[in-house]
Amino acid sequence: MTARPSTAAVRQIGPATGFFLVFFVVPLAILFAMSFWTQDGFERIPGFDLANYLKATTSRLYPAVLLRTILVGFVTAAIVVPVAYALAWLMRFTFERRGRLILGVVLISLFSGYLVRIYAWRTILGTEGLLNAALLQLGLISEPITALIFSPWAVMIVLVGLLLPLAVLPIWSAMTNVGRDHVEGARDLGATGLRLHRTIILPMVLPGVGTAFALSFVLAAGDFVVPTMVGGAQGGTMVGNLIANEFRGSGADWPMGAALAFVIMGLLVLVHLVTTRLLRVVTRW
Amino acid sequence: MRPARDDAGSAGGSRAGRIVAALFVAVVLLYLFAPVVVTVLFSLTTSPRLSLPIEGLTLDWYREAFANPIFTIALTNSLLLAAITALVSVGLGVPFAFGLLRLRGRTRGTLVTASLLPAAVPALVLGIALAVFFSGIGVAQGLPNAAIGHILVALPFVILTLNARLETFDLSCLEAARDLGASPWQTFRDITFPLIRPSVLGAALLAAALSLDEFVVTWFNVGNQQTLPVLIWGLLRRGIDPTVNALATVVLLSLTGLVLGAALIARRRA
Amino acid sequence: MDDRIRQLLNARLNADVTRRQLLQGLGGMAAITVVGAGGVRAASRPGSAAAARGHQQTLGGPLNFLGYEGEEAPNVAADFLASNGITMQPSYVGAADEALTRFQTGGRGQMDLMAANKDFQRSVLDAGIEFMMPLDPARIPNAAGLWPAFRVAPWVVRDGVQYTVPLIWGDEPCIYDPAKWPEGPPAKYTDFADPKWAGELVWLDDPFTNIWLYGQSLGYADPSKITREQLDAVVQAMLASKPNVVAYGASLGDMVDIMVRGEASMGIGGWAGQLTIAREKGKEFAVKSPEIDGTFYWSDAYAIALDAPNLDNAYAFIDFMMSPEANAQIATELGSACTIEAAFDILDAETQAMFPYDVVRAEDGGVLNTQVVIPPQEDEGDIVGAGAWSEAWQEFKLS
Repeated sequence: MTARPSTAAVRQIGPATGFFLVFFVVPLAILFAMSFWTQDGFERIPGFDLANYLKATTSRLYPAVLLRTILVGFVTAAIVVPVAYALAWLMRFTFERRGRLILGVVLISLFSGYLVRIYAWRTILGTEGLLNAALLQLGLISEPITALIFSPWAVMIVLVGLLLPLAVLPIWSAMTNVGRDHVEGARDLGATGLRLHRTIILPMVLPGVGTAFALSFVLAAGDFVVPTMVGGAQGGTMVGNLIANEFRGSGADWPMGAALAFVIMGLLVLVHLVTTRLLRVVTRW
Repeated sequence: MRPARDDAGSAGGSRAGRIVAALFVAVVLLYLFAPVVVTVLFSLTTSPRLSLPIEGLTLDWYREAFANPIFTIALTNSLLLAAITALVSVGLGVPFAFGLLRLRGRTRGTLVTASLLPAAVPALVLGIALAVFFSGIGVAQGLPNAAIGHILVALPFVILTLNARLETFDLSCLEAARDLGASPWQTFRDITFPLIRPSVLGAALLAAALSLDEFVVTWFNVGNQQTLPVLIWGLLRRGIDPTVNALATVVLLSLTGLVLGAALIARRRA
Repeated sequence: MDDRIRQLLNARLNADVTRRQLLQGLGGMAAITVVGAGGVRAASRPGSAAAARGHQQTLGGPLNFLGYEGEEAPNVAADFLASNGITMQPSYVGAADEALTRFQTGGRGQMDLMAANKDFQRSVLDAGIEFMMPLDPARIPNAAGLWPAFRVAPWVVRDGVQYTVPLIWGDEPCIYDPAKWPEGPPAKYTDFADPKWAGELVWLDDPFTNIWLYGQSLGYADPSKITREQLDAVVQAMLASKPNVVAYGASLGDMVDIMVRGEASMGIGGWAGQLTIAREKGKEFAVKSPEIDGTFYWSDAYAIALDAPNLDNAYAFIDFMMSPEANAQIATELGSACTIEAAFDILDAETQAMFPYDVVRAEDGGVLNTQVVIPPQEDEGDIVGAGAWSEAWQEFKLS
């Protein structure tokens, strides 16, 4: 593979990079500058003040919410990725003829709309919901289970359902590079079961798995609607809620919201780097 | 060059293994489609509560949805935005992913992580930052601004998906084609694209899906225009009702039809 | 791209139109002065206001609305809009502050009509920021029919200049399933700590509503102006009720949705308009406030954004909604109280009885004008501001 950054590379990378520079880096830079401002009533006072960052890391509320957000993101990704991996593997090697069809079907589930799907889960998990009705009908329970909805479980069930289709895609993409001959070869050498995956397959599709993890982690951590809608009395409040409040809730404080945004961004990138490194170590055993 | 598909072999495992595998896939699909089925089902029942019992079937919610002119406007705008987002983010993302291949490991890794950043920024912050930016340079809010926001949201996922596919892509076949006298365009059309087509299609679908669901960035940048999510979020003040389900079903069916159509055409060509 | 060019052109053209309209508006004012009381009388017929002012030719085209869903009056104003060729372009907010955020992020010059709650409008006026346009009362002749309380209200008039036009008002009662709780809510909000409410409560996910109500329950004279210690005490009191809470409604509609699905049977921080929503979904609920603690009053008013591109449409629309017929109709539809005196007589007896109208009959506006629910924007000495309330609410939810 040629490794010099040729003009061709610049030409190919250029447009997207330009797009990011103009519509992402510049606006974010403006907001970053604003994170050092202070808010007074409805107005923002330009300046350079670290108070917002101090508050984000030391107050009673913010560190707790940050931790919770990272945790929800991490646990969700840790559930989504193995399932997505298994699904991608089966689509590629067990149902290879129908693999693409299954993938298409999985992706189609995305098209019913995010918010509508969340409400549909309320209909499924609710006290008078479909699941309870089915369980009652089957005689498995005599009283509806009220803890299905408005619980941390509900948050997980809904988030995993929302993110699974997105996570399958990169893993499956990476797996199309793995040939059947690799698998056969590895089996001939005695690698089977989990060892086959850990030592041969996983290293080959690692970029895809890493992407899937990053994607589901970031999206789960950034989601604040699902916990609000199905999390119940204990399930709410993610950093997203706080940021939303600072920008358009009552008592809005844009500089504080901006500072919070940059703190969570930093944390997400940090966790992403650590997990990618960890994943690499694990697969090199 | 690796063969795209090998002869049927025994990698799939034993018959019992296949049954377990089929069960697993079935459970996953049931899990993913339970809310979809519920959405469609309750767009057709007379119950305005979106819950059991089901007393009767009706198409009234569809009639009601389309009687409201805002719904149709929002639907059109949303489909337009989804199409633009899919096209542009793939148009920017495919060359970017290929360009990455020509770069050294360290630079490439940094660029991949950097392209993930917009996804790590809460959508709300992206939306506000973009809105402040546009108002600063004097561009009025509207659909084009929202489209830019949607591309910004979708592009990282498109790049990541393609990058995962291309990371182990063998560039030597392209050089071989070039050595045989093929022009870059010919190489792309006859060799590269057919190899990556499934991933590109997947990435485009992903971009469209993300665009269709995008609410926050849109809200701050779309001005007085409506999109489906903006409309649906507004309607939440009165709680969800079956007309929303009817709309979601229409979107679901039209997009599924579109995807199926595209897949059929692709198969016929192949 | 065509769209953007067209929009830029529109914005440019509208800027000119606005200036022209200003002149015509002045002309209209002169006409009314000449016609005198007769002009106002004629204008009180819905849809004829513009004709009375003699510049109907400028009506038509878009009218942008940003506010609470329903207050753009899609049903009530349908004929008015159609006959004047106006296309309503509504966009909805969850919290009033969102309109200000949109205004400050490039929305200025694209926003016309807005609807928000009185306390928000009051604090915006207190802050003296650029947001709402000073209104020309001569262009809203029907607003002369407002109850006395609304003509002097601190969120309507500031330094002799009018900024808002009250549309509806009401209170924030508990909404409940009377089949399950024939007695309704307990006498005090703090009584919701009783284990008999376990798994039955749904709260509105809004810091101010709940903290204010529990502050009231703790007996604070003005629950919107409390100290840090008092705020902590309120959170403690709320925490005692929290084990009984099933969920927080993301909006008033979401709250009803949770109740209609049978997940909860008692909603705190409700709205009589929720009864209509519940009825549409086949459930009969009731509203009532705790006997001792009571509740607070709110009012939503129209305002026009500075640099509104469709000023004539906005004025004509507001004037139409201030006609007794339209005002009575929107109040009925939204389960609220009317703001126009003559509208009261048109209401059916049931809607009339829903709210204590002596509140607005008082010249000084009574409790509606003196009561504030939203805390100060910033801390004021010992009194904690909105930021502290929001944080306290989030901490409460996290605990």
